[in-house]
Amino acid sequence: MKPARLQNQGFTLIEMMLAVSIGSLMLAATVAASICLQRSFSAVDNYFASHVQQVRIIDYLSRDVKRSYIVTTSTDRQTVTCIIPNYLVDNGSNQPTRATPTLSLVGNKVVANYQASTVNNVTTTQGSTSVSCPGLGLVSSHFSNANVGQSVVGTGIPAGTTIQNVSNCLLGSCSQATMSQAATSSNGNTTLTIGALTNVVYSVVNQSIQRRENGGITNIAASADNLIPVTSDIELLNTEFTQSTVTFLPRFARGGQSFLNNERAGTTIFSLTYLRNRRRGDG
Amino acid sequence: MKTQVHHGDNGNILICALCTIVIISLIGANVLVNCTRYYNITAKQLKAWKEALYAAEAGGDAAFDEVRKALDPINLSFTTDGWVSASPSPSPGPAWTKTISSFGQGGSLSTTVTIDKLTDNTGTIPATTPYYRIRSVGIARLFGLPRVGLSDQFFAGGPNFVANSASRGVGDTLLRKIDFKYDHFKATYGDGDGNNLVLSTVTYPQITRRIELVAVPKYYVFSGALRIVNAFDGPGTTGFVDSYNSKNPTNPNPSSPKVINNDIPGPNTTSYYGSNPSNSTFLADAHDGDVSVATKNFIEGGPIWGDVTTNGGNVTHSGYQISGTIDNNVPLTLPPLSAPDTTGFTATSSGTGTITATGTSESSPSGFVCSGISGSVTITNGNAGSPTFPYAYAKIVANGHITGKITVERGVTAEIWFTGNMNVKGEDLDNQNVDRGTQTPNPGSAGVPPSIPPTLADDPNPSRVGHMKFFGISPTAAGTTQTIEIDSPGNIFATFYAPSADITLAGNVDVFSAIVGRSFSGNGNAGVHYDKALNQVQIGVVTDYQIASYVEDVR
Repeated sequence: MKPARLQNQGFTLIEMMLAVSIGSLMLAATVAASICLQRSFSAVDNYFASHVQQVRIIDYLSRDVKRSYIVTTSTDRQTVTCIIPNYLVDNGSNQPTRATPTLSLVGNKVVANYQASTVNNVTTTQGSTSVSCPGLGLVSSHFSNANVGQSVVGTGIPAGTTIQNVSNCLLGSCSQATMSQAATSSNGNTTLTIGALTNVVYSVVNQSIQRRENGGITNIAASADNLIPVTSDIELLNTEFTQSTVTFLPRFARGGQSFLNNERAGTTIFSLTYLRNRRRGDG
Repeated sequence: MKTQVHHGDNGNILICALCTIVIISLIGANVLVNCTRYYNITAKQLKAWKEALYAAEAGGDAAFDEVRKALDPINLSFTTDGWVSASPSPSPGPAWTKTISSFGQGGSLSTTVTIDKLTDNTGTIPATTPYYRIRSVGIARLFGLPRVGLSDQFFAGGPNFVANSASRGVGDTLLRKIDFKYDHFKATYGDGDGNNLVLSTVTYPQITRRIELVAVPKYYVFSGALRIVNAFDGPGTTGFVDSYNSKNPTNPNPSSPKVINNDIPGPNTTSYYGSNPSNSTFLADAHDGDVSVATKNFIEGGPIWGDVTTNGGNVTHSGYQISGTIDNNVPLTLPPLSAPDTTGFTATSSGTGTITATGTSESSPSGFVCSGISGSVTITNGNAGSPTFPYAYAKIVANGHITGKITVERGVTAEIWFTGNMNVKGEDLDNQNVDRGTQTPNPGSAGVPPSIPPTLADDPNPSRVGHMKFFGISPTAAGTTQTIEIDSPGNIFATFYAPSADITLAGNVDVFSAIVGRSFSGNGNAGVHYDKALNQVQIGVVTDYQIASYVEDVR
């Protein structure tokens, strides 16, 4: 009986090399495709994740700007300060109650305040922390001892300014006050809003976007894709509006700076928001 | 015999391919899940979040519309169109509420709004003029699968919600505060002030937004001599329009004015307090007799010491004697004046008689209603004997014409509202008050504080003119007009707010006043002298309401 000849005889070296080469190419292609697909998936995932954060930043800003008395932006337009009515009364029990609005006059127009008041006919001097008002009348607005430590906003008053002390008082009516920061302009007849105002600051810290409400920090967005919020505020007679854009650089973008700029511009989300309260100064 | 050959490795490639496909599919599926989540956030959650605000604002608009209707009592505000009294009634009250539901996509939106009527007791505005707090809650149903799309989880600290933002979560959870199973606000804050906390199950996942608006009265304040809705033809060719300030103690009493001749704006013109270089204290107050016309119809008689505005007119300095600025592109709107609420007013005779005013403030005047004033009516000061406050306030509503004599005694501030026409002589409107009250040497002005402490007998109103105020109620019948005709002799110290009335000053009548009318015509020596002390809210009239504050409760 003649033994059967084995059919899986060894390959020649040429065959082997050819097979290994083809196999390697196929494996490399598969691996490369997998990596590219994974990167692509990751980029898509990241794109949408960044988009969600874009929308969130815009929504946070719009919500706070709408209810502000005044909004100021830094020179680089990446820090936004909102002075907001202090609507909630903090009674320390984690159960804040709603404040009752009170009225005051600015000229002949009635304005509403929450835990704040207005002082009319105030004189400010550029570079000086002193402000004064006629204020000795029982019926006219004036500074008072209760103002010490409270926030103050008004034309020519930098954001975040507080009242340090009051003086020239008679029967509780004070005609002079000292602020924590100097006025940026002189004005002979301005109105100041003084009270426990809520101070909200948006800023970029490394790759996070932070919202600080009276010092309490919340990270509202964090991205490795260089989320860049830019806000400018435009002052009108009695109100103002802000224009905000938020962009990011998609991960799949590769190329020169011009290309990257275009890629970033393509992700722009724009928002225009008006302050709905009467403007209380220009900071 | 052939040996059978096994090809056990034939499927290796297929297995590898399948594994690769599986791995890539898993990655892709993960991406799809993530993208679905992001889609839910950017589409469904964002939609609901924004629509909840739209719903809240719709409620706020409905409430503001109701507040504006309240200016006219015949509109029966807060009692129709679904408005009901709020229960339980808040303090202060009263309050009304209304729910608008099932609007938006699939009826997914609803809003509940509450109006609180508030009163200012600080003296900023009269206590009789309310302002309103509008609280509106907008609710939007969140479409999509429950919990799908939640980007961040609730942190520990509560079963499904927690009280404070610090532990509630971050990112979209903190911003949008979706209620998947329970209404977190009612459970945590109750009615918003910590009352009536309740674990309330929501029918569908939802997003709720709460806004609060404050509607305050919008005052027409007498900030100029004349505000005319239609046509202006005045003052008289030998009269003039100028101004003074009764609060300024250096000014003479208008009853003995200082006449300045040959003064600007034209030769041979005259002003009571014109720019006499020898007395600059008059000059500061003399050139504010502003005239505003809501149309292009402007004809000048005598000189005007102040600014002039028209809407489409062709007024220039070269063709007119006007001392101030001219602007021919200024729109002016003056709404009709509704009748006041006379509930609780005392009915009185329309003929000869005496009305005794005992009200102690603008916000609590003595109220009288009559069918017209055809005889001689004297409004006496019922508080004249008071050692602390010898002043009185009256509000008279005449449902008819005024053709008789009206005397307002010293110390009385009288508002006289009328529905018909007025046809009197200047001397018939006898205002016996004087400027700067009776006791106060310095009632205060811009930059000059009043005496401290004020004497108890000070008149809070320094303007003689401000003690006699006429309000022409706009006719409600179509085609009906109202007229006010004042003839000589006699000068008048009174304000006129009658946006639907055609006003005529005939003959030698000087009106120390501020005038609002549909049209104005003056001839002869008829002139208008505006008292700048009238430029204050307390002497104005509420013409509308406006939103003065917007806040969102972001809890």
